[in-house]
Amino acid sequence: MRDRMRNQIKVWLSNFAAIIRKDLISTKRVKKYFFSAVIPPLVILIMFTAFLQVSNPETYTVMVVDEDNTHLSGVMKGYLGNITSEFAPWFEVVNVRSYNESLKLLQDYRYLGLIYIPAGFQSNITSGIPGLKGTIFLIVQNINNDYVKNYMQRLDEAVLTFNQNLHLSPGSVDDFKINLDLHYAIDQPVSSLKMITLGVLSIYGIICGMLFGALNIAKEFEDLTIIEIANSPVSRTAFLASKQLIAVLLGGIIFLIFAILMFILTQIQFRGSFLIIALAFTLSTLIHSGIGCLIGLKLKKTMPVILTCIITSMLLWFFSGGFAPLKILGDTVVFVSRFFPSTYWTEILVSETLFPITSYLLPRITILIILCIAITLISWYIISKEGFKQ
Amino acid sequence: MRYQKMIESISSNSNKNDIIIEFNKVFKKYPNVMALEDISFKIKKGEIFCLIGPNGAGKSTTVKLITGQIATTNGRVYVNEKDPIKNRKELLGIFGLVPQEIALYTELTGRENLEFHGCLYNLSKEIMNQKIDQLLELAGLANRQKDLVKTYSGGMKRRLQLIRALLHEPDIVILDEPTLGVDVQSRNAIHNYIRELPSKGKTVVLTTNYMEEAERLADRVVILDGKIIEGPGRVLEIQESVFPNSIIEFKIQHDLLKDDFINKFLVENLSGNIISEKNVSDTHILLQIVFNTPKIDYIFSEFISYIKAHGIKIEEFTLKRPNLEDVFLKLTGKEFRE
Repeated sequence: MRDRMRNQIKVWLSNFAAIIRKDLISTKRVKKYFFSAVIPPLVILIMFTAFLQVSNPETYTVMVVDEDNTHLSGVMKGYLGNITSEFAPWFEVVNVRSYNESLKLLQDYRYLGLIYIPAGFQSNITSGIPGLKGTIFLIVQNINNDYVKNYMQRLDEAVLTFNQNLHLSPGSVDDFKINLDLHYAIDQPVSSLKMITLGVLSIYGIICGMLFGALNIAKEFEDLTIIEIANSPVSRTAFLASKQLIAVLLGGIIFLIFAILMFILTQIQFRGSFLIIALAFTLSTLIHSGIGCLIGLKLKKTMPVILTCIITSMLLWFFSGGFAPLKILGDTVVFVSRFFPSTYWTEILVSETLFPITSYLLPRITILIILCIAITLISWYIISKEGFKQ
Repeated sequence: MRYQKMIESISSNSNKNDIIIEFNKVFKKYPNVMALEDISFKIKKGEIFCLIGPNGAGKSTTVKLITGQIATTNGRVYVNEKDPIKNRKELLGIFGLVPQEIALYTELTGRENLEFHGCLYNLSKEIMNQKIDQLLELAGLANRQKDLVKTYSGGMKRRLQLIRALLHEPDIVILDEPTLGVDVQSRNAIHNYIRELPSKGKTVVLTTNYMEEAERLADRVVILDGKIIEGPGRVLEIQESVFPNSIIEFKIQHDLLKDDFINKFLVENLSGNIISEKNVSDTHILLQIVFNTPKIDYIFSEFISYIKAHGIKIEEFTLKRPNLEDVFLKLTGKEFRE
């Protein structure tokens, strides 16, 4: 019994390896086939990136660093959060642990600004010493932008409300116990290049995986070689698993090459765990290569497959937040985006790379694992049922 | 002589009448069309069994039923006494399929295609390489084995497909129109190779549109057109059952008839058959003799000996014998098929 099973596994692995070897040779030899999977999505994504660089350079996330960590600093943070969310839902407040880290992020990345509540904020307010105030520092970029100006006004209002509600001094402004100190301003637009670059990179990797999956299957139909496969004793799971693994492998190589290129060009630093990124990439590419295999099964020709995958990639990109921050695009888009596995992968990649936030990692990885299992099983079932009827 | 050889071959096979494939009242209906209706036949081990029929007659459907790619709507198919659908995994290894279409990895070399096939059938590397060398040599592809298949001619691709199907030593070789669109040389090479297969213990199921191919290769044929029109039976048997008579025409001088040599031969050998005479010139006459097809080999050799012995000079001689194509056209009609 054990020998039989061992033999079956051996046969399965031998079939699996043979198909992978064959597909790698094919991909290497058919340049047209390889480039059709790599070039069209890249060209289109670069075009979109360039377009977005011109049309929509701002993002609206503000970091808050609370080094005081007292009751009053907490109340102040609440005001800041409320005022921004009431003003416009796309203004987000993100808590960052230390001032140094936030400065680094500010220089490095797309944040609109930094609100810094230094240690001693509450003790200054409650000291009773005349003139001693709790100070909030605001470091803001892109000060000439109308949205930013508006935001500044709202912050002023938040500070005013805070002062009034403290009932410490109903009199003149001089008696106000806190002070908003516009510490630093850069008359320079904040670029979302890195964010967009990451969006492009994340989608590009999985699109390549999807395209390779789709092309691998479609090519078997186009060349009618599926007849050979369907009439051989090769395990269907070995056949499908090898097709998906090839897709993940090639998508991964392309992803890696472009990640290195983008690092060189845009100085993006991957801060998070390489293992988490690798896991999330593998899961999402498996999901999309499964979808690709179904596209290949349905269309059976390479050209329609390429076109369909490009259109699909645009959808994925849009609904994964590559086009613009999802909140700007409205609730419907946010809702729909939850149905796209690429959204979770993009969020993981962005958070692991740019944000110091990891709290939502586990649910997203879990969703990807569930989707990966479900979509792989569904695509294998459909292809086994329909694809081998030659 | 050829028929003699074939009859001998069949009789020598008569002791191996184990049935390897059986169709028992098989019906196959596709959503809009009844592809096969009440098909029953048995294929013996080690014979070349040929399915002939016009386009859309159900030949490929029959092949798919044998290999378990599709199920019957009604009736049973057995391969090695097993249901090919239920036992597909087990049976797939015993088939060697040469599909109608060119189904090769064109971006791989000829050898790589064979190696890939060998891996799918889990052949050991040593045996596989040995077999591949042998088969490539046999198919005349040894010197092109490292070239990409996309550079091969149609005939070479067909030959490669054929040897690929044989690489894993299948018991049943299914050839679905294996010589479609190939040149005479390649066709000849393929025919020679197919003819060798029964001697290696293989059963061959051949579908073809070429009647001459069926005549040349098949031990038994069945003529399909949605249902069985004729057969299964030997080509000769089918020819005889559809066209019981053949015609010999020969043109001789008038005065030879006066010598009564010919008349004597005809009366002695062909009594009871119709003999017509037609003057074709002042000096010559065309004799037309209709006789039972089974006697043809005998009559032909006797007649030649007779005229040689008597020094008769025959100006023209024509043997009008119905071939499988005549049979086929008579049975399936002459109208075009989709």
